Parts: sequence; C-alpha cells; structure tokens
Amino acid sequence: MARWSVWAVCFLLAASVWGQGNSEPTNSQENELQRLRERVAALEKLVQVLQAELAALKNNGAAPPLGTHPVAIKQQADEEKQKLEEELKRELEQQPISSTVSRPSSPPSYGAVVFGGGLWQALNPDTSVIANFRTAFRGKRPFASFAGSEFSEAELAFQAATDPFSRLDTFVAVGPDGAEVEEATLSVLDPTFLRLPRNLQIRLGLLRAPFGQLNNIHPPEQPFVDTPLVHRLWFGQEEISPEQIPTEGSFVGTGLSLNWMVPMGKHLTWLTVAPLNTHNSVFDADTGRPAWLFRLRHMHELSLTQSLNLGLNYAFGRNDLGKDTKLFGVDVTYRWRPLKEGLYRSLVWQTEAYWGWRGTDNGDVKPKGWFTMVEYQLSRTLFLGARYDFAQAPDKSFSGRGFSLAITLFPSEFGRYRLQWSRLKIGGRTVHEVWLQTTFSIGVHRPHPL
Amino acid sequence: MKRMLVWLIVALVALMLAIAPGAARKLRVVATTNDLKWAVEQIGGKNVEVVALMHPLQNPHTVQPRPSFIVQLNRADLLVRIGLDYEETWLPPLVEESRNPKIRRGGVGDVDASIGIPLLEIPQGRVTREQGEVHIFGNPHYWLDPENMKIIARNIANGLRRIDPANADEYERNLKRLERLMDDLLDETLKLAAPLRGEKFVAYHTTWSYLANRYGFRIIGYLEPKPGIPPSASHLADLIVRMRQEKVKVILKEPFYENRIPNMVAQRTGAKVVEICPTVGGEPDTETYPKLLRRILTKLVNAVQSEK
Repeated sequence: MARWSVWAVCFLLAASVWGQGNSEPTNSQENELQRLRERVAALEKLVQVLQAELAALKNNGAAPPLGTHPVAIKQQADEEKQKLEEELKRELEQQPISSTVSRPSSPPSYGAVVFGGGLWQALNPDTSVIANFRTAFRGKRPFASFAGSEFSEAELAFQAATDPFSRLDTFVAVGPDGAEVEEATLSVLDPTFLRLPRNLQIRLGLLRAPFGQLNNIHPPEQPFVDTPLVHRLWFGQEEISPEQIPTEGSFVGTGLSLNWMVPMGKHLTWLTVAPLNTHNSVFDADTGRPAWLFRLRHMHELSLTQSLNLGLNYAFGRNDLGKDTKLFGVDVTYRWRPLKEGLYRSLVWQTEAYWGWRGTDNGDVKPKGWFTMVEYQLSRTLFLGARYDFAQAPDKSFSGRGFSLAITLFPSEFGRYRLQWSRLKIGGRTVHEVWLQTTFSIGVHRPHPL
Repeated sequence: MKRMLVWLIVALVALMLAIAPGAARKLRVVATTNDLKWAVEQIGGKNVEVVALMHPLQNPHTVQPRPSFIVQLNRADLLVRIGLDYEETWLPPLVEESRNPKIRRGGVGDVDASIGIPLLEIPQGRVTREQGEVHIFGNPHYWLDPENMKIIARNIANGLRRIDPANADEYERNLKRLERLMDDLLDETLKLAAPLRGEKFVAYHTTWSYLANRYGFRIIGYLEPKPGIPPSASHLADLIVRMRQEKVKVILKEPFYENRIPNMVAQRTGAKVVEICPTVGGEPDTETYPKLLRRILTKLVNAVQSEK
C-alpha cells in the first residue's frame, strides 16, 4: 500500500512539472513582462540623465544639454566666471559695501563685541579668549618714534551658573607681566532664597565699580584703543606724571554691590549701592575705609529705534593722605539703530563728566574731567568714532586734553581691526599717537545686556 | 549726610510699595517673534496677554535690546522662544537681567518651541567658526511649515498647562482646533504652491529651507558664501554662472538685507529679486500665520509665473 502511495505522489509531481513546462504564457504574464521591459528602459534613461547631471556637477555647473562636451562646458564656465569675478571686484570696490557679518545685538563699542553662539554647554563654564594686540607710533609728530607693540593681552573668561541661585563670572588678563584677575564676581541671581524682595541683585567679589557707563565695559571691548584721560588719570596706576600716564584706567574694587531694578512703564531704573575696597589715585582702601558708591541709572525708551541712558553717580571714601574724598559724576548715552537697516547703520553718543573733592592738609582740591564720544556705523563692517576728552590730575598738578579719531573694521563677529589717531596735550606737551589694534575672540563670550 | 541716607531709604520704600503686585490677572506671555505670539494667542485664548519682543522687520542677529524688553521679561509668566540659538546673541543676558527665575532655561515658564521639530541642516562633524555663523543645532527658521506650527503649538500648550493647570482642558481644545486649522491650511497651500514644485531659487540667507522642503522647490545657492559671511566677488561669480546654467529666475531676500548685491546678481542673470518678510505682521495683510503663508506662496508663484 505504501509503495503504491509513493508511486502515486511521484506521478502527480511529474505530471505537474510536465504541465508547467509545456503551458503557453498567459496574457497577464505577457503584460507584466512588457511592463518590466518598459520600466528597465525608463530606468536606463534615468541613469543616463543622472550620469550627465553628475558630470556637470563635477564640473561645478548644471547638467549640460545632451550631446555637449563637458570639457568645453567647463572651459566656457571658467572663462565666464573669471570675467564676472573681475567685473564684480571692480564694482564692489567702487563704494563701501555692507557686509553680511552679523552685528552684535548692542553697538559693538559700548555693548561691545558680542560673542554669541550656541555652544553654551550645560555644565562646563562658557569659556572664551579675547586676544588684544596694540601697536603704537608716538612722538611730537605722528610716526616720529615707534613705541613698538606696546601692549598685548589675552582676556580669559570663565562664566557659568553655580546653582539655581547664583552665577560666577571670572575674567583673567594674561599679559607680558603675568596674569591678573580683572574681575571675579559671584552674582546672586535669585535673591528670594535670601528672603530679599524680588528685582534685587547682589554681586560679590572683584567688581568693576558701578560708576559711569563706560567703566562697565572691559577695555578690549571699548570703542577706542585707550580709555578716556579721566579714567587714565583718576583710576589708572597710582603714580602718574605728565610724562607717564597709563594707557588704560578702570575703576575696580573688591566688595559688594546691591542693585535694585525698578520697572517704570516701558522704562527701567536701577539703584545701586556698593562698598568697595579700591586702590587708585582717588581712593585708597589702605586707610581702613572702603569707598561707598551710589549710582542711579535710568534707561528711557524713546522709540523702537532709540534709547537714552542717564546716570547719576556719587562716591565717598578716603584718599592716600587719609583725607575725605568725594566724587560726583553724570553720564548720558544715546543709542540709535534703525529697524530694517539695523545691520548697516547705528549711532552711539556717550558723554561722562566727573567732579572731585579731594581733601588735603591745605583744604579741598577740586579736580574735574569729562569726555564725549560718538561712533557711527558706516556699513555692515565699518565704524567711525571720534572722542574729545579733558581731565585734571586728582591733585590738580597738571591737566590734559585729547582728541581721537578711530576707524574700526569688523570682518566678522569674532575679529576686529582698528586704526586710531590721537592728539594729546598733557602738561603743556603735545604728543601724537597712531595706534593699530587687532582683537580676536575664540570661544563663547556672553553678550553684555544693555 | 545722615539726612541724605534717610531720604534715600524713604524713596526706596516708596518705590517698593508702588510696584506691589495687584489683583488676579491674565497670564503674561512674552514671545520672541510675532509668529510665536500668534500661536500663543490661538492656544491661550482669553487667558493670556501676549507681547512679541522682536519687530518683524528686524534682523534676528541685530536686535537692539530695549529697556521695555527687560520690563516685559521681568513680569512674564511664560517666555516662548524659537530656540536652537536663534535668539542666542541677545536673549540670555536679558533673561538674566530681568531677574525672573520662572523664565530662565529650564524654568517652569520657559518654552523652547523647537522641541520635537524635525530639523534640517544639522551640521555634521566638527563645527568651527571657519564655517561662518553656523547654527550648530540645525536651521532655526522652522516655523514656515504648517506641520512644524503644530509642534510649536503643542510645546506652547504644554507650557501653558504647566503654569495654569486649571485651564488645561481649554488649552487642549484650542490645540486640537489649531491642528485642524493647520491641516486645512496645508491642503490649501499645497494646491496654491503646486506651480513651485521643482522650481529653483537663490536666496540671501538660509531662511527658506523648511518652506522649500514642504512645498517642493529648491534653493540652489545663497548670496552669502557661508551663513553670516560677506559675499565675495568670487562667490558671486560662481553663483551667477550656476544661476545662468540652471536658469534660476528668482532671488529671495528678506527686507532687512540690503538691495545692492541682490540687484547686482539679478542684473547679470535676468533674475527677479523678490522681497519677502518671513514673519507675521511684517507686510500688509500678514497679521495671522495663515495669511502670512498664503502671501509668501502667492508671491513666489506670481514671481515664477511672471518669469515664464
């Protein structure tokens, strides 16, 4: 029975194979074959087209018409490109061109170089290096003497939130004379955890003094190579003479700053109180008393494109003679940036004036100093600045006045080239200076707010 | 001196009392752009009061912070931002200066509208400044696609629910309605933009990638050689040759870019410069997102058809 079953199965299989091999193709199979043939033909055509496009792309051009020799096309394109390039170069050089480099959110000289970017890491501090190189030619006439690469410095910045309540900003200046901490500030971001009313901000550490508007900007980011005379004479090194005045001066000190922000409609007012230990030509903390600083700052929104910043400053403390010293200052800053053309045009005008009452054994000495400066954006990358300043030495032993013109080129957000001419008349002596400054930044530098 | 200090303290106390918080009020929402403002209004309805910080005609890279920005951020219950480093050059320091912990990164009132967006142009490999002002997380101009607007709206609804759970159901209903609106808008605009399929354009900046992706046209080159880098003669010459070969007839430009270079290229290629504002409210009759999208696509279709 089993044998019969095997034979039956074999027979059925053989019959099935024989039947398949001898059957004619059906209509549907024929149609399918035809469809596949057409599809293959279409794909062949597509491959040819793609090959032509690929060849054209390799030649930096579009797909050539079928039958055109790719080498001839490339030569033609190269010639056309060279001709165009020369023509465009000529046209671009005819007038200052607005570049497409993004400008900082605030004008570069006052809010300074804004080094934004999205590389802000979650846990690592924001780290940046700003390299600042300056070369000076100095004498009775410009180029009379070469002062050499008078100064170069790298500013290292490390900035991060320490926890939900505070942040740490540290700036270290590294120069030929070594490293110096310029500013190291712990800011209390959320004073409510100290059970203080909201809108208060507390800062501790080595601070840039809340006195005037320009003093808040780090020197590499200021609109001129040097700081105004009044800063150099009053807040620079302690020993000054008409022959030897520093290139920079910043009012810094160690201590505490308590700042209260008061929104007023669409305007803002800040009140700041800061007791600081500071050493400069005006105040000397070695006398055992800190300098107390008070600043009232009001920022007024004039329109969508204009704002006005007004400041009143007052400070008192002791000088190197151990006598009482007081300072009073006012500052005004006007900013304009149009809405649509904001990439290409802007204007900042800033003026600050200071008066001092310096106690001496022979009564009060009352020095004064002021500066006014303007910076206008000529194109997307080019800025023109002018400054006039006057200052008396804190002991009124001599005075100086100066006029400076600076042209600054920002080829990108991260590089800056500046040429500055200054005429200084200090203690009856006139000096011309020509400066070249290059400033480069790498890493992430947090933009200044306002 | 003592008298002066006393007066100072009295003035401080008076000011503190003057700004004491008032009675119950609507939720204060700050959006960085008008497009986000429109979306917040759709989801939040009568429960929210929304302001936008940026003017639609402003270049996002050159926003000049105004004091009112800080005032608005200081009072905000919710901050809705494009994210992806779009506002990175100006917004973070203002948020910090606003002294409002709610809207800080990761705060209860911080809404990053880009969460969940399928991003385009994410840089591959090592990113350096050599590549220009590259957006390291991907192209942030993602709102010009109705599908992405649905994701934006979902993020906003999540943010509103976080700070106002009592009205969560209403926000969900409004979200569903906006999603249906976007589906209808997509159907409508796909038909409207049909003539754009396969068309080739040149643009000033990488603003139009998501729009091109959705409606099937191509941006074959940019006036900027790299994002944020000035056009050089060599780059423009290359671009002009390519435009001639590929018969590109339209150059797209935002209102905040200059006209000179687009016009120079247009003169040499016979192309037409089409100025389009990518933001709600930047042009007449674009006060809502659907109107903006219709206007952009109509302008593009008209430009393409007039060149034919």
